[in-house]
Amino acid sequence: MLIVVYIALAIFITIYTDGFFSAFNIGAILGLGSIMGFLVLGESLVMLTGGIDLSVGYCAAFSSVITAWTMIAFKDLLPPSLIVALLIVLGIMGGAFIGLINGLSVAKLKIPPLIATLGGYGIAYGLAEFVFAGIPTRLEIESFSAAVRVKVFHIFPISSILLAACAVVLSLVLWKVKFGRYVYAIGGSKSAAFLSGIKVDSVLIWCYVLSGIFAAIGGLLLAGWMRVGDARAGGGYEFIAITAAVMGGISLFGGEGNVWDAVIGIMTLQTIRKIIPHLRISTFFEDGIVGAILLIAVLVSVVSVKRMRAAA
Amino acid sequence: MNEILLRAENITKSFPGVRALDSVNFELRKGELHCLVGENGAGKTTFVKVIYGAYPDYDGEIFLNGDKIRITHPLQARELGIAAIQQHRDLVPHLSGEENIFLGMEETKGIFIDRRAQNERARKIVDRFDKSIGLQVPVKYLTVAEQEIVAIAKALVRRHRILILDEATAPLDRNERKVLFDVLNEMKREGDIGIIFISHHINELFEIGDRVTVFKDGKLVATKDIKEVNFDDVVQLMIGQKERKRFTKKKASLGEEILKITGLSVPGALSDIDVSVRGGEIVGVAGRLGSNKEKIAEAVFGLVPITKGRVFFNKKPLLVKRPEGAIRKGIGLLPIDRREEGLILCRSVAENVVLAWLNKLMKRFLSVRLINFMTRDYVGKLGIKTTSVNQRVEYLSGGNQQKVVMAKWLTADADLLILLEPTEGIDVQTRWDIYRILGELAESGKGILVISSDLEEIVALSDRVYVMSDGRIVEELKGDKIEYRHIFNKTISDGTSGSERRGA
Repeated sequence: MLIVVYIALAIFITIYTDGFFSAFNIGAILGLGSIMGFLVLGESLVMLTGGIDLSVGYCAAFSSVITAWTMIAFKDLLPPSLIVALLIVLGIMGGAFIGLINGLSVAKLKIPPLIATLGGYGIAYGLAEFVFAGIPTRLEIESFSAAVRVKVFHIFPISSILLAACAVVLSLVLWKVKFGRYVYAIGGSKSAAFLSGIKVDSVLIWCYVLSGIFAAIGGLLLAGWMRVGDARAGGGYEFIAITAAVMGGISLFGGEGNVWDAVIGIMTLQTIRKIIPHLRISTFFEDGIVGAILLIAVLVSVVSVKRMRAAA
Repeated sequence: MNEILLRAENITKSFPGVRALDSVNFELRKGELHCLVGENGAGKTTFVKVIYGAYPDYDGEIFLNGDKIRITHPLQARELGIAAIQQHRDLVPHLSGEENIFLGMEETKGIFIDRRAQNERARKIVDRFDKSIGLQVPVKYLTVAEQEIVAIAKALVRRHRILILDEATAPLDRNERKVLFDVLNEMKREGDIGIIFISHHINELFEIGDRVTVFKDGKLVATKDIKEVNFDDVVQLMIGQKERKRFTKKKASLGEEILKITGLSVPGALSDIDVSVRGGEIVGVAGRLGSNKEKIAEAVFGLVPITKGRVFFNKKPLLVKRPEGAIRKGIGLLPIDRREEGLILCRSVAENVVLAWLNKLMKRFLSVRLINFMTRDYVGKLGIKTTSVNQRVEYLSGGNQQKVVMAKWLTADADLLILLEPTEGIDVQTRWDIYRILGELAESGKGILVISSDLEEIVALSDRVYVMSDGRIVEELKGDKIEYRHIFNKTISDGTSGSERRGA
């Protein structure tokens, strides 16, 4: 469904603009698109359980700051390759930590996900700001950025290939592994899942932790892509991630949708964001347009749910 | 066959002000289908809820296969092999039948779920009942009967040995019932399963039951072999020696016709309903659960679409699309779920009492003193037991909460009060208080429409009674004709309600 929309959009763009789909533009869409795609994977996972994760943006920012910090802190102590290995571990741990706070708040303290992850959002932002007093900091290791910016066949950024690999694994887990089916079961009916003996709490906690980890991976790549660690880099990404997931058909009520469509969702959204200046629309409208898309996507999903209920 | 699977001794369960179960002694044998019957509120559902763990704070003892157990939670009950079949709670709508059946106990090959093995096993179980059920489509696309069968299959895979079906046939049509009965018969053949079956269709128990236990007023009246009893015996046990307890109100002279409903039809719920209420009159609408009697109130309040028929209020056509329209015109509603729909629990008595009256008060700023004064007046008149008018409503007992809802409509000066199950879950003393208040309201010229499944209440209160069954009015009774046994027989549907409703 969304893929059809995307093809129509692409045809429209090709006709209307002159050479928008250059290798450079495609690379740019895929680059930032796939970085945000990691946030979308995590967001989708949480939304499938019927929750929402507002912290993904600043989770990513937090890990981007960790990236810059690790490079400075271990500059003279370790060889660059080990530093990169270390920053990946630390960044992911940072994301997992925020995710764990979210997960525990939702599953154990029974705080509504919207509020619980708003807390996670604040904590992540606060930690990210704290490290460099909010100042964007250049990455010390140039080769890390260079690696992130490598384009396979001059068109596919490394991040897009990584995203594809992660999406394959995640969708396999969601379809074929118990954990994945439990995610859908909890999103579809918490009571049925619970009465079937599923450990609902631990599945929920894992989903939020995984969301934090995916966001952190996005943050590491984002730091490399931008060549800085910036506490504000991920601001507003939660909004884009949620929009993309809803566009991709992840139900707001949980239990329905798949991560592939959500990935197509972020690519569509990223294309639209990229095209805005080409259509001579002020880029200041960008968030407004994304907001309108979010509302339309929600409307479509709610209307289709209602129609299905009426038919049943 | 006669081995005892489950024994319950002296089970007692009380709610504030009401003893819902009183020293119930019950036995379930292996391989039997044991029917529970009784009127609404007789205690049968409360009893099975104790058995499947929904009410952990019961008194008494339960033995499973001779071992004493304490049932504290639905999940624990399931682990012991006791499960209530409730397709809407058991099944995840978006998952397929196969996935639902194996949810939480998947067959795996390595880390992956072995879908083929699961499907084979699921198919084998379900095919015994119905080969046509699709197990690969989300269960939300199955019919209710098919969902029930999937839920039963789910219980069988888990080797649950005691299955509880509470009103499982209510949403089914005649053919679907037949399929379900075949399933149940097939399960009895397995020998070590016991089934507890609740239905308000008394004739169903003669189709599939082995024994029947009758509940009345929270007590177990009798357990009989189905072969030893006939339909009338069961009915007699259910209603016992009922004398007509009549609430006596002064004979008020009847006023103008306040509410008149003619030829009202609501798709799938009501057909051709004629109801009228005059000032000074208490009119009862009697009917069992599933007779859709409550839809009359919903239609008047614009909550369900009216396809045919008209509603007149004070001689003028009433066209409302939302409740506020009806309220503005002077109709008050006491909903079934007073805690959810009738009250704002976390606010004070005073705030609740003036809620529907605020529109008229809107001219200036609210006067707290006036509000409190008015509320105190009603607290006194209706005998609402509360520490103060500022007490939060949630801390009041059920009966006093209901009185607050009544006060709300009295302040709003409604001409007509529509009450749904007005005394459900309310203790006897308060119940008669409410009847007295309703009587006084009628005497003051208001019209009262009481929609209730509690026939004693209908008999006690009403000047006139409409008896409903399956979305139609089957009889109108007046004065001395209002007689318990007669209404009871009229309200029992013949077990075809589902199909009729679907056909409508």
